[in-house]
Amino acid sequence: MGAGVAVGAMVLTVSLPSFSAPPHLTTRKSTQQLNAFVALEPNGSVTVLTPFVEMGQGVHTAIPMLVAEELDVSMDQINVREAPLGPEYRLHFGGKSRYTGSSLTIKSAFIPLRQAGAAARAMLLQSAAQEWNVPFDELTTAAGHVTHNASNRTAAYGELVAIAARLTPPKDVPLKNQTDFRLIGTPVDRLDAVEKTQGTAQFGIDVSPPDLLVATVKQSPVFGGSIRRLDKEAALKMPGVVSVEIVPNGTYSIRDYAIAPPNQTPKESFGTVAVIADSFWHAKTAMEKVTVEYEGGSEGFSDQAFSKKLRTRAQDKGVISKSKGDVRAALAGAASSINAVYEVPFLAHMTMEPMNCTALFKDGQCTVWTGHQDADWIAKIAAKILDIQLDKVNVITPFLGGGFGRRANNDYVVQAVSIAKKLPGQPIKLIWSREEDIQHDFYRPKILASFQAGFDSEGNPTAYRHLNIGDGGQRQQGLASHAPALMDSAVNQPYDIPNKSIEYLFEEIPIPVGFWRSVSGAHNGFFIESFVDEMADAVSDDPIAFRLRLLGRAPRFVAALNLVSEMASWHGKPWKADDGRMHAMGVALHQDHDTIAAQIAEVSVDQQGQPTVHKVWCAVDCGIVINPSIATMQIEGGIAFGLSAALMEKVEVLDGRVTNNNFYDYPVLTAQQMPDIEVRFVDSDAPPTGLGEPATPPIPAALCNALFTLTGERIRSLPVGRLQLQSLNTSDALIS
Amino acid sequence: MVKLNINGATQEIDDPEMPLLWAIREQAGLTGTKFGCGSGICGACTIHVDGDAVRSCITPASFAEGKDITTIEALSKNEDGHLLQQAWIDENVPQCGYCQSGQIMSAAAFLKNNPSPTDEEIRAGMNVLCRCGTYLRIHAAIARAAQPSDEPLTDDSKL
Repeated sequence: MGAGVAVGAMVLTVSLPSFSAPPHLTTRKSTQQLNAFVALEPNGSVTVLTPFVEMGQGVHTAIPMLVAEELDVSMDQINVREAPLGPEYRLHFGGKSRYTGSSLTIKSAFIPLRQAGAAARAMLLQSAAQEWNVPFDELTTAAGHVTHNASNRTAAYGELVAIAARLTPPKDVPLKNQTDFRLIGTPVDRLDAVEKTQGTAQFGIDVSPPDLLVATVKQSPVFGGSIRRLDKEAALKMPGVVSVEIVPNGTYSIRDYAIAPPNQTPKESFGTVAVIADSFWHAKTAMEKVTVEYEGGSEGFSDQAFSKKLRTRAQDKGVISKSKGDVRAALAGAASSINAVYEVPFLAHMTMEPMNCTALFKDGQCTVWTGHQDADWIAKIAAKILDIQLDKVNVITPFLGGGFGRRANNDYVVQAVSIAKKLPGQPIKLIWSREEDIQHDFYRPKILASFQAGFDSEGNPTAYRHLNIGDGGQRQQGLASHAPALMDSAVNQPYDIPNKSIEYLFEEIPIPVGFWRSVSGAHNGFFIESFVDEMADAVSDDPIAFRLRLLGRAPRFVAALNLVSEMASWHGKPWKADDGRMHAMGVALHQDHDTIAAQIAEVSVDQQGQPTVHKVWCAVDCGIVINPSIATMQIEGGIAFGLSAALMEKVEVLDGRVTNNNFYDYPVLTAQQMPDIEVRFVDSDAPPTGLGEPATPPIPAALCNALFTLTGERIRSLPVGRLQLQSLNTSDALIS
Repeated sequence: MVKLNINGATQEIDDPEMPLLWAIREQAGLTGTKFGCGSGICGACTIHVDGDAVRSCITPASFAEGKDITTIEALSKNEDGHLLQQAWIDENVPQCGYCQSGQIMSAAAFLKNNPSPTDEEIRAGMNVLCRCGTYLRIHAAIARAAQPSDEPLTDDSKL
């Protein structure tokens, strides 16, 4: 992006598209874009253009903080605007991708966004140096002003921006040292807090361009099914109904649209019927009059039969992802050994905002308003369906009412654009019902893990084998092979055991699976940290002391574990608490998306076997913390998300269809079940790593390890549900 | 035809069976009230009808005829509502923000009935789902907005 390109500075908002030129190029002489990420208004306000979507994780505050830090402006001068499409906004993997996910935003943006702020500042300094004819090095900046102390002159950025915009953007501008940070590391208030408490924040579902039609869909309940017969006559007679259409399911939106070559035809099933009306209520009531029969798809699949199939393979030899020494020989020669099989269920995301997308196809151009995780992918989906060039697609991204990985799969966008193609000229807003949302998710896969460990006669671990069996969304969508989908965080845990083997076996899941907050960490954290606890118990060691024995080469893990132990005043044994019940603690330590999280959970169990989590302590090493307030919120949220799943979440599949319907049969964590949470960050000057996901993996293990200490019973399959305690005596002992 | 009074303005609704949620969002154009489950479970759609918290997604328009409907957009017109929203901001409650209209409307009705709740009462009294896990901060915001009790303070968040 060259200098002097004017932009319309607007807070992220929903507006009608301008097809004469993309919004960032509309001519308004007042606003000057100094580089791809920074534009200045004459009144001194700064527009930060961000490629990253805001789904609760706080990046629409943290990203501007990076710019404001180096530009020396205050946060109340900042507006946030969605960056247009373009290669300069692909900050991941060496300029390949702009998606929001994998806890990558801060990690990838930390240097480039600061460079953008620093480069803009340098241009303003140079403008002042020219204007005042003073040496560049004598100028200072603060709070949106350039000052020359020697001549007692000062100018607001807005007064200099017109000159600055004519300069060539500099390269290699030095960045501040960490010790000079003024904003980074401080608990700056979220920029989106006010609109999100006043009901004015715009989410995808709120988009309302003029002449809007609203659609809802009924998808083949069996995954991958197609429509065999459709009777739409009764529905067409209902009030407000405009049309009833068959559209593709869009299940492989990444594989077949986002990353496939433009000329490759998607392999689609047409199993989705859409009713388009003048309002959601009319579309929904008319849908009840549609008679539709489906055929095909994964009719033979059930989650219980799949579990049995996985278990038949638990003793098989896997494909090695990572190994050290000779684990089989070490197991054969061990003085003692243990083994265990673990399993996790399918899980739904249940974003509070059901899937929705608004699309307008008019005069050969398309505008898509939707919550997504990659604007490039949305543009490619629309371009392919409509057979238009990418530059004819305008993507507008309101706030996401939750993401958690669900909106990386854009089946709802395929459907909405396909509807818009059939009804050109009018914007169509597709809204899914909650039932469609839970029954057509991209689930956290059901995975089985098989472990073996061997010890010498002194109780030192000599062998450790971990085998994961299952499938993953990365494989289904053509993003990766079997191994990364299953393994990922399984191979980078720190325990130093002389003979290790980390293996996988592929077992195809024929229903859609995807990316669920922390992805492979969501199962690996539970598997590994539960089994490591079993290993400690096998040699009668304290769970924290045992882990520390194996962390000799991992000082950052040691620091996080020691910190959480200190925060919680670790108790390795149950104790009688003030509420008259026995309480116990459990610990877990996991590295996910390059961030280390150590957690301790304190639990009790009531007479009905219902666990209560009283408190969770979490120590985190994510390198430099940009905003400790938002960072803490992410840890709290990550723990709540993982705890909800561990306690009660389970998607059930029978005859190829999900049998859960809504929150009544897929309960999630309530306010009453929320534990107290205490979070601390390890002091660090390391480059920042992600925070959206890493708090989720440890909590299921911390919970189940605490329940083991309390009850003596090991939970190897989630969700925990109500404990079926083996003996009433045990149960009585828990409550006095 | 049903005449509704939404935030002091009259809105005519042609279908008395239409849930208040859709009358508010699509007919009155007030999108702060959210659709979450359509079954009255999650509470994202919570509004006030004559001051009481109501789940608008399962409440037909006819129920509110002749009554006063208040949505999140008008809450700040009332001093207590404004203070509650300020407490929400002070405690940095929202993450994705989608459920927060329902949380705040639910909290406002809760505090109207119990202006000086105990911690246990706050914990028991809030039944709107949040997937981002903002429950602790919601609790703190309600405690902050609550009137001081006559009894000695025990809750740190009120000090």
